[in-house]
Amino acid sequence: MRRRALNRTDRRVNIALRVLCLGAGLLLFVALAAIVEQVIVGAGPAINRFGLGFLTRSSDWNPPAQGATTAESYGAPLYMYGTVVTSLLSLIFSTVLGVSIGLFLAIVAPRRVTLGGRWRVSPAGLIGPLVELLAAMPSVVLGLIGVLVILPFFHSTVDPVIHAVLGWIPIFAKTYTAGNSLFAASAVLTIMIVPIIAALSRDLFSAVPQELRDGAEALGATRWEMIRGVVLPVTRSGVTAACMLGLGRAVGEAIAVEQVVGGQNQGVIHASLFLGGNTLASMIAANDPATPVTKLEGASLYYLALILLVFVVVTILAARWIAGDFKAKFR
Amino acid sequence: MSVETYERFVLNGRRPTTPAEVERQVVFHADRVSVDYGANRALDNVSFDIYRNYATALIGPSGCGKSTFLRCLNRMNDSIDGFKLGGNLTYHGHDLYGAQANRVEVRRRIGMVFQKPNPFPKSIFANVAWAPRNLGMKADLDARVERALRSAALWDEVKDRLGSSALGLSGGQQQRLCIARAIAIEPDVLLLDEPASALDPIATASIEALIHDLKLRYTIVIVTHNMQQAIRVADRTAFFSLDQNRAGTLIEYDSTDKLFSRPADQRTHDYITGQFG
Amino acid sequence: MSALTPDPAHALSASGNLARRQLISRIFVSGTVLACGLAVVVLAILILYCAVNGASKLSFAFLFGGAPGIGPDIVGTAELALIAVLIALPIGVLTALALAEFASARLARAFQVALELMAGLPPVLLGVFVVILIVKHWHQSALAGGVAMALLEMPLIAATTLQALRSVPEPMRNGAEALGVARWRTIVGLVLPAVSGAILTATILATARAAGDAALVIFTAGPDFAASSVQIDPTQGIPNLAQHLFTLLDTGQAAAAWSAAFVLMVIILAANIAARVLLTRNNRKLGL
Ligand SMILES: Nc1ncnc2c1ncn2[C@@H]1O[C@H](COP(=O)(O)OP(=O)(O)O)[C@@H](O)[C@H]1O
Ligand SMILES: [Mg+2]
Repeated sequence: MRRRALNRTDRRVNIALRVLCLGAGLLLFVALAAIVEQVIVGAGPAINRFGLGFLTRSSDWNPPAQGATTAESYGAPLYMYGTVVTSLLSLIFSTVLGVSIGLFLAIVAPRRVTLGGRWRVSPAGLIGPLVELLAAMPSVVLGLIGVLVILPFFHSTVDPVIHAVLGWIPIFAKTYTAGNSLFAASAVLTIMIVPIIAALSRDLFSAVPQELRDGAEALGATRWEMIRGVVLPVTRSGVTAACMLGLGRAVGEAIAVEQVVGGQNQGVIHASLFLGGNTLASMIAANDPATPVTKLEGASLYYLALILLVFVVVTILAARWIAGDFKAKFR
Repeated sequence: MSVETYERFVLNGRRPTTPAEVERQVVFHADRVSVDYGANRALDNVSFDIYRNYATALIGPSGCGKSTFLRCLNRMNDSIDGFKLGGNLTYHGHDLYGAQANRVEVRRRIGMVFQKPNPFPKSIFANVAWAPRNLGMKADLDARVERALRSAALWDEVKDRLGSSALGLSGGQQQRLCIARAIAIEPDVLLLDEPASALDPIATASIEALIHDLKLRYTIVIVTHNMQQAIRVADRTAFFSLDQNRAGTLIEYDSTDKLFSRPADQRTHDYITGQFG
Repeated sequence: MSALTPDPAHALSASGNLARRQLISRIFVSGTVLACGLAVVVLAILILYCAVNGASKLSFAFLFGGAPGIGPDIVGTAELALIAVLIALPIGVLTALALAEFASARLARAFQVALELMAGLPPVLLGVFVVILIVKHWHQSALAGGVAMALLEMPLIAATTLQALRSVPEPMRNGAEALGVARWRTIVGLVLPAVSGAILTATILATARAAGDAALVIFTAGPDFAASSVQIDPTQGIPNLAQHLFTLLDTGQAAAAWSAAFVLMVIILAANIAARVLLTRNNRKLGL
């Protein structure tokens, strides 16, 4: 078939479309660069004042009181600690739960269950979308549930049990808050990222070739041996990448955490997980950077945002690197 | 064993013809076996016996239920949605689908090798050692792995790279690895579903040679669409085809020699002389 | 034959260590069932609590009236969503097109990394960015809030569109190009219509997510007081549901918070369900 030569208009529109698309793509890089640049610029005064010492000075958050003359003093370690503790704790919980749910949906659930001798339903087909709905729950609603349901429940039921059983270990020590704590924040974060990990890992597990699963079962393996010996190793990097994505969400969640994390900070890192604290993100959300008390406080909040940015970019790149490893292995 | 049982189980109603035949024990006894996948009948009214230490070939046009029947023998169909087995299928006199039968135990005794080589994405050694480890056969694992690889005629090719990934092997090597993996746990029966269909002629020849050796120790059931292959490796051959309802069924079952030289059924004759369809 | 070979005469019940192995297997398998049950229970609690505590207080005045009602907030959220979609949809789709159709392999890889980074940035950071970029130099406004929301939506829309573009059958495209049809006509006339369902779904899902994220709007969009009347001027601060809910919580007004949360949840879950139904229908139409 002979190609018809393009007329002039077509050629021009082709070029215009190309330029438009690549321009939009370029905008992506510009936006990314601008985010990094603007946050650094915004943090400038705090960087000049505290330098890298901001990361290590064990300090509370001290905007000057009205008319007071005491020196302003800000530091990040408390919030970095809060972020690391809450996100790692929730990562542990949600990896176990999310991967279990993924396994159930992809492998364990019977294809069909007959209910009352009439209705034939597929459990995975029913529960899968519910898990995805849970993932879509707005974080501010989760925060509300956190404050009004989870905190009282933890305070009355969960915390006392943990204190009674494990209270002799400092991180589980009994405290006297209304339940707001790093631990409660971890629980809310867990609810947030379990569905993410569950949905992603379900897709990974479903993609494990049936032949491999059959191969394991034909060797007289039990279901769990098949899962542990074949399904999990084959999907390991993919699942790890999914968990890193969940971790990224946990690290950056501000609103839901801010509601339950407690926020008291006396400038000291407490051993117990059952005391209030703050994370980088919740600290920013709690102290509106649009209306800071002083310029330096605003800049210090942007400095926290910069640290958060570094945390998040590192997890995303790590997830990408691990997932790339996964693809390479499958090829 | 009474004469009736003997005749029913061992000889399928025929008089013994050779002393060797008298010796043969029945491993699988299928009695009017049928299989449904949901509303589809895949297999209907299949009755025959499979004997110990024979290689038995299942041949027939594609879609006539050969794989389905083979997978019934070690309950690999159990997890398929809508699968239902009718009739009676026993293994050494034990009902394979009875309440007493544990399907993991069944598969441990009746190993299977699939059409497409399916090595695990692990090292060669780990592929073979995985199942023995599960089963607690941990004593002398190295020797066990070596024995299995030797039996599968693979040892000399891989002994220097046991630690490298099984996915780096050629198709024929992968399939022999799968056979090694299956015999590493010393099953009683080996089921092979078109084990050479994805392989080149040289790899096919090595698999066929292997089957000759293996049947000294194992009972072998092999599905093949290649009639020459059935003639080369099988002692007995079962010919399956579609019946008038388009369900697969057993047409004829006999010693390989007899089935290919003097088929009793016209349909068998048509199939083996290439006049099928 | 070795002693380990099972005695064929032995019944087919568990032999050797199988009973123990199956017990372990059952324990772990039950664990997965439990985990799944837990997730369903948590979802049920979330929805039930919001429904029971929230729905009972709903009234016409609350839904459509000014403070203490949430009428202005609903209108504000809709306006923010509209602004965000107007920005994010074209940029997202064009970026996906650039990646799928125009970029060299290397550039495409760079695009991909940038998209993943962008998609992973926490909403609170996007909010901070918009504060520094716009709010500090101007003031809080619907436009600033919309930009923050668009920053969240754009990579989501682009990623889904890209996935859909990549699944457009190659023959369809090649066929048209072999006939000498101009590239832009293929893209506008064939490729984009084929992926329009996916784009729409992605847009709904992304909008639902951005509209429910208070971190995007609390610094950027507007007044943290309850508005008594509907406001629509995009250059001014605008009341909206997510922020309203956040403020109610921060100030301890539980009863009103439940109702606002219920409304927000219903809107967002309905959008999600609609998007999924749409996607399923679209996939069926494409024979996927
Ligand atoms: N997993 C399955 N689900 C539904 N039907 C199946 C399944 N496997 C096989 N069948 C059907 O059973 C029949 C026999 O298939 P199979 O045993 O694979 O034939 P063969 O191995 O002889 O080619 C075919 O009609 C096929 O469509
Ligand atoms: Mg077959």
